[in-house]
Amino acid sequence: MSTNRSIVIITSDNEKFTVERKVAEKSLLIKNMLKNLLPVDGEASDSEDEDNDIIEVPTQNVRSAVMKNILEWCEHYKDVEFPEEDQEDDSKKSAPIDPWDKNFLNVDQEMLYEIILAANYLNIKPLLNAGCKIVAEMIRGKSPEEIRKTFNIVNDFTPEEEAAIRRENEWAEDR
Amino acid sequence: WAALMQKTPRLMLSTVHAALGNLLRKDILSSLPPELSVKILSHLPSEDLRSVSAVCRKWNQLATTHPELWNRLLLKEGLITEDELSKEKDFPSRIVYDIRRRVLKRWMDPSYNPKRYTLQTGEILNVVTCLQLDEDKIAAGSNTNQILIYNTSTGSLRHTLKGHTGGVWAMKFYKNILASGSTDRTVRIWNLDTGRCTHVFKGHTSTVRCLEIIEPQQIGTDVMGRPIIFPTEPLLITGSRDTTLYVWKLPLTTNSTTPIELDANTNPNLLFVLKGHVASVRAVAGHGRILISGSYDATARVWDLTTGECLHVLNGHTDRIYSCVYDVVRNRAYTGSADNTVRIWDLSTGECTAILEGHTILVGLISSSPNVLVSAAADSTVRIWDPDTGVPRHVLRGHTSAITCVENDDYRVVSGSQGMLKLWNAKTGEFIRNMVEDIDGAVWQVAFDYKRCVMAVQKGECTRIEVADFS
Repeated sequence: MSTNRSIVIITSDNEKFTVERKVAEKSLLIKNMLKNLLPVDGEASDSEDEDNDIIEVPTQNVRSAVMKNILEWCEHYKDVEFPEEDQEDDSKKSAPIDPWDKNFLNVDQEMLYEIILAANYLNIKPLLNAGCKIVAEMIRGKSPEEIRKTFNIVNDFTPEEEAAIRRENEWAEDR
Repeated sequence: WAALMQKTPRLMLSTVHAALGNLLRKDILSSLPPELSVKILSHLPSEDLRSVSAVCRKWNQLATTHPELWNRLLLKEGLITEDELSKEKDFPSRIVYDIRRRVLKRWMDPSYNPKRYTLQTGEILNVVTCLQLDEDKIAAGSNTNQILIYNTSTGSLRHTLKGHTGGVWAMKFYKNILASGSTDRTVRIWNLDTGRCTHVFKGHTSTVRCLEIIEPQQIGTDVMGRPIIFPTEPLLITGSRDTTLYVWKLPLTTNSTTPIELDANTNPNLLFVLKGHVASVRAVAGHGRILISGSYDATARVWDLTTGECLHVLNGHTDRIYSCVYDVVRNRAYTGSADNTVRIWDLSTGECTAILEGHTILVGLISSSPNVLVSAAADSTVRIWDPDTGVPRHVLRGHTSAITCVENDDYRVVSGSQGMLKLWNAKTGEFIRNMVEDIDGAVWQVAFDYKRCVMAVQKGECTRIEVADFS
């Protein structure tokens, strides 16, 4: 019964996470890897003793602290089917962030950054989208100075450049 | 670690916590690969992108150099159509966005004075029956048998198209080809580069009252995923008082000095004659394979242009239909009738899904844009409706006689009546300004694009075509 078989995910710092196949398959990267390694039921042509093998999936770009979070997300959504379409239409863009995701992504900025990177690498689109929306929300409605404070950014414009940008923006946005 | 923290007083922990929070602040946006940064920014409106551009150099780069961010806003905000956008692709899209916003603001500002010029009409122009503009040319058809072609930017007369022996009541150009229909029962095709008539199509047995040109479109994909284009060449559809519609292949222009005259039975360009209406065909609209016709027989019909088949008869109006619009996105038709109503039709079933009531005399004109449906009537009002639900949004009051012309987009409604030409805010329904102050006669036609408004108005004994330029 290969569909129920556990998968062992090995992180960059060599930690091992054992999860259900459908949890791991929230990552399209892992799903595609497994497709080649492990045919699903009915297609299985290999001998039975393969069931005893441990399927190890190395994810060299993700460290364990991040993977722990990612797998929590995958576990939460393991029974939810996300459409695989690549084209994101605008109505989806403006849809509010799922409250569970919002709470899940309420982490420090370093972790948020790593979750976004990992979701991109592992190809987990709904998580990537939620992460991007969270960052967009951190920017929305803020002045440049407020944004700098939020993200600890140094203003590296010369006063002339800053004045030129302000003029340009006022010209266009003065409604 | 854990033991150490256990021993630390809570106040100090709190201080450390705050300090750690600050230390963990990170420039997430520019640390990510650019495609992810752009993905994040694509959730934000222009005001926020402006703020982003003023944060630091890296953020400025991200907000200003990725055209997809601004193209998306241009389309989403209805500032540009896909067609126009493809023509503007040589310009940085942020600049295109800025210009469109700026020009729009001028339209909405009653104190702004647009540049104005008047097109030379000579003495021949009487009633302007049809009007169309693009960046290159303005075309005006008249009841005095002629069509005038002007240079859009200078306003100078380029060609006078002569040949019809009756008033021109329908006209449309596609690139450099113009098709016209007349009370003389013929359809003429003109080469706008030379100003010569290249073809005369005969067949209609009464006035040609409306026409439509269908441009090639992708209408779907085949089993292999390849695009299906229909029509392969532009189609011309003409509707007539003789109750029929003719579907022609729009001929490519030739340089011949004498027009080719073709009778219906020998015309290789004639594809179908659409029969079914039992009274004059007054309005026609189409896109891709679908054509809608509205008739004085109080019905509208939906036709499949690939086969010439009538798909639906839209039954419900109790008096003549004067106007119809095809909403491709919602797969609907909107019709306006002398029975004082506007109706919304679902084209998958042919059912009427809403009857829009409020007008008290003939609804002669319908106009629509992605999010705004406009109707105008002889009762001197213009009404704005929600195109999704048919719920009334605004009644535009201010005209004192029947509305004679109306045009709109998602931001603007321009409407004309005897002695008046008014601009309204399409979102709020508010009156913005009179477009021309000193008209004392009829307002025949109006057409506009994002920066120019072209108005055919009567002043004293003269009909004039005026242009207001907000760029």
